[in-house]
Amino acid sequence: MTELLKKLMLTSGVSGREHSIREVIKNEITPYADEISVDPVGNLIARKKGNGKKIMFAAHMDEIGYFVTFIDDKGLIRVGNVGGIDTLSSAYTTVVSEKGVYGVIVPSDDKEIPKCENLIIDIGAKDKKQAESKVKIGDFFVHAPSLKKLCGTRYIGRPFDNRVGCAVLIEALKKVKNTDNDLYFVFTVQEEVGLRGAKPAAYGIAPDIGIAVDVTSVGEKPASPVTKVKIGGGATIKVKDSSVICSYEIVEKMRELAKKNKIKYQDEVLLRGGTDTGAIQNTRLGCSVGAISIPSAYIHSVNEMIDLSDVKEAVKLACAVAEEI
Amino acid sequence: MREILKKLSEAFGPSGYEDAVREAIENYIGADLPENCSVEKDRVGNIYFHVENKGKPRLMINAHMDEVGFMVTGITENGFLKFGCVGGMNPLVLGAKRVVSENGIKGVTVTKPIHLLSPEERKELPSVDSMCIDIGAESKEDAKKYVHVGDYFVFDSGYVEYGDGFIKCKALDDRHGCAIMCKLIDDIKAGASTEYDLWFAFTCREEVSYSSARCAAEYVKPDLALVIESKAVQDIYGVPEEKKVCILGDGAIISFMDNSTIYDRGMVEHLISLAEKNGIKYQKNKYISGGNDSAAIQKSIWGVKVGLISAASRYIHSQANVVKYEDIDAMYKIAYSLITSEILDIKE
Amino acid sequence: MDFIRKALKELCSLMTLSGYEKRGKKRLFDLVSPYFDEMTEDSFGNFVFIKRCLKKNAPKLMMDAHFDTVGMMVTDILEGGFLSVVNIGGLDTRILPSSEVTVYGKEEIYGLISSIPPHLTRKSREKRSNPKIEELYVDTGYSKEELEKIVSVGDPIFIKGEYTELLNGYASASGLDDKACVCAVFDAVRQMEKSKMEYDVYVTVSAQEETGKCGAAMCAYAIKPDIAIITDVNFGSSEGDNEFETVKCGKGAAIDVSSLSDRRLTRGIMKLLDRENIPYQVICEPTNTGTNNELVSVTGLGIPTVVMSVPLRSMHTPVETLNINDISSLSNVLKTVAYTEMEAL
Repeated sequence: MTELLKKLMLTSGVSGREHSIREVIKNEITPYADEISVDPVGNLIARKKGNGKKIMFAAHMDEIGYFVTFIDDKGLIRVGNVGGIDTLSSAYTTVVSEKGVYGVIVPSDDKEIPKCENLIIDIGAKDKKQAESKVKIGDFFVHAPSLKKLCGTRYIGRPFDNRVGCAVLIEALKKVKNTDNDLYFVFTVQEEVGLRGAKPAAYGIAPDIGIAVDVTSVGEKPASPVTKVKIGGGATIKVKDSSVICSYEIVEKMRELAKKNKIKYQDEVLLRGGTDTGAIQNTRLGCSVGAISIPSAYIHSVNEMIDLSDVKEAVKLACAVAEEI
Repeated sequence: MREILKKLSEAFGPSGYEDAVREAIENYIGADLPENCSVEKDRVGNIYFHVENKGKPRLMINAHMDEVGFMVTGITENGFLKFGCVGGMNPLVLGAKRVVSENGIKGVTVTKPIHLLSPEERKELPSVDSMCIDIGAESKEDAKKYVHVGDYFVFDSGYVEYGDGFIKCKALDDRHGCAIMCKLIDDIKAGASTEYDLWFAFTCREEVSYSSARCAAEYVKPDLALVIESKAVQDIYGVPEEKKVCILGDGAIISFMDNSTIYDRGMVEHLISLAEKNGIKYQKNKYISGGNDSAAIQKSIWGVKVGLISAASRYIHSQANVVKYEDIDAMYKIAYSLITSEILDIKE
Repeated sequence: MDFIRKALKELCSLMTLSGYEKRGKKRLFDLVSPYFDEMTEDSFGNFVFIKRCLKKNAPKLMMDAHFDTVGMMVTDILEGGFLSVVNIGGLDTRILPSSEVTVYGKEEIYGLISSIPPHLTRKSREKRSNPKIEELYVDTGYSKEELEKIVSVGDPIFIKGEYTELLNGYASASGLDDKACVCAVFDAVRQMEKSKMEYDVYVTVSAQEETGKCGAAMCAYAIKPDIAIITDVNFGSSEGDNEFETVKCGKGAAIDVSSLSDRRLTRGIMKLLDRENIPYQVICEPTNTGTNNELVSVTGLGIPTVVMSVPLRSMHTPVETLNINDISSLSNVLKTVAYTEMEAL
């Protein structure tokens, strides 16, 4: 599992530029799927055929980052953000471009919490010309990927959001037993910029049931919204987030399945943040939806934290849902 | 006691218009009284039940009949009622509540819809001035057929038992005190004996001033007084332990001090010893707050030794007062043991 | 009128928080089954009721009213039997303290929203400001242990407000937004004579308007109507309100004029009502209407829509108040439209 996670996390891909990570996932899952396709917006869709209910699993493969917008005379790079950057944590950290160019991100002034528009990337270029030889306008940068083991089964690194969800789906696809259900494992694009990829995928598949897999917040800061979800407390079964109120039949069914299969789970009501779940629910005639989340601290910072035990429970829950719902 | 508590709490009786409560108490007491007992009234609207024991020290048990409410201060051209509060209320609990007038006209309190507020206005609490009561009147003329300036309204919120022995109703402050006194009168009628010259005083207008209780003290001239009241507490989640005041379900509150009164040491010790001797659950207040009729009684005539037992109450002065029945029962037992036990040495 | 009163009382007693509309299905279907040819539902929680006219290939007229209401959801079970909550839809937290609620756990339990009495705020001199939803707790009167057996995180909470009649045909209840219009639509269809109907009428009682307005759009996508009438409540004026932002209670249904509705259809219906001497009010909402119209009008290939409303005071509170005559007025307008050929609109 950690090998897989490492492979997924060290391949970068911001929203709209998921080509590299898509290849990695595709190679990983090809032996296990009956059909594999990529839809016009770039969603990767793996199908395990069946005659029963059409179930769509979705995990987004994009991550937050920056697009280069301007290079000044000194060779300093201005950027626009892709998704919700935690600017408090990003200042003075290492970033890397899609072509492997390293740089450091610095705030342009000493405001307490810099705005994204005031962040500058310094790649050490001596002038504009040298910078332009390394970086083009429109290239993306991400915070340097990393994966480190902490105490016990805890890990720190980035981007766990949402490569850990991808890992869960890949493992589930590998492990799922034969079932009548018609299974679609979808690795979606552009979730971080407004759930843009999952909608066309759901439109194409027109599932009976949609299940998103993503990370969820554990409210680690005193000022964070209150939540009961804890790292290490098991996979979560989502009831609500700001994009969706999950279908309560699905929520109840998932709780039953978790109990029956002795899967450690927690109930999740996420107060801030949305997931692909909402986009899937509202496509075409609408469908029943639920979601499985992996508790994570410090989401969208340069060091996100998860517990591997929760990931394992999430895989079990995804398999149970695929086989029995 | 639950039945009379429900009946009294649901009765209409804002300060200055306690008639329905007084009537319910009179009916409950009835006319068939033991020889040494009588019902009396004074000129401010207080009502008394007297158990005569000539020459013995006088003990007055007191609870107030009135509740917080609203008074219509004006009627707008569009037929909405402007109102003022009778008694102290937090504007936080006034919006979008059901209310009912002295004539049974139903209405709801109206604040401007949140959708139409500016971002600044959304942050502010709505003031009482900006609210009105909507009774469904078409115009000022139409409204005048049903309501007049000066009419009273109270919360339209009935008696509900919920959770593990909790009771919610409007006006539980202080109808539970009245209900306890009714139960004690029942006991007297059934033969419970007391050595005191005992007076039960049901008083008026506590929510706006304590002076009706002062009149009661003038009328009775007691040596000792026990006030039965509600105590505002906040034993709710998120409030620091030291500010919760008291806890619902931890028994009758025997107060030593609040913002209006320092209670007589002898009375306090006597009440505590009665509770302990009889195994009755009690608690002391852990925070100084609130005030009540005791203040007026203590300072009236040549001074009265006064004690207080109160029920820990959540959300008082809102449509939903909450008490726990076992606390009310504990208060009743303490009051019962006070009136039936040996006379407290008042010389000390 | 009797039907409206009965239906209103019945529907307002149903817990249909956004996302939980299906719990009201049985009683809704029982109430209106005599009046329809077909009744269906989808997985999202929308209900569709069809009454066909006698004409072949008649155009489809969709009449939408949303079934869901605002409310709250349990986020945690706390010491002392309190629940922390989050709002579902736009709740007015200024009026929540001391309101009564029902928590729909394994069983229905009673609860109160906590508040601090003046005795204790006055002394602390804390600045009084509006409570945030996370500062409000539901008091259930149970111990935490007992409560955990009954209630789970994610359970819905409904703010109680029983149907109460006031003077002059006014009534107050929690959830009149938008059950008033549900009643109006059913009352209209109930009275329609098939021989006079120019359309197959599709009544959509849609889900989750308060949390994203997506239900009605799904219905529209499935039905592909020729015309859609979106019915919803609008701001009834109370004391001190701007008369141009509000409509008057008791003065009849309102036609909403908005750039997102179909201009010709809207004006056509107003002309029709003028011809028939049916009174109505007009309210202008230049950009959007804040109703299901926003998504329905651009569903599929696009659908000509018109928005009609019932004036409602104290919106999104437990004492939403309206005049029943306005519901009957809307019902009459809907019936008139259903009897009029599409070309004449």
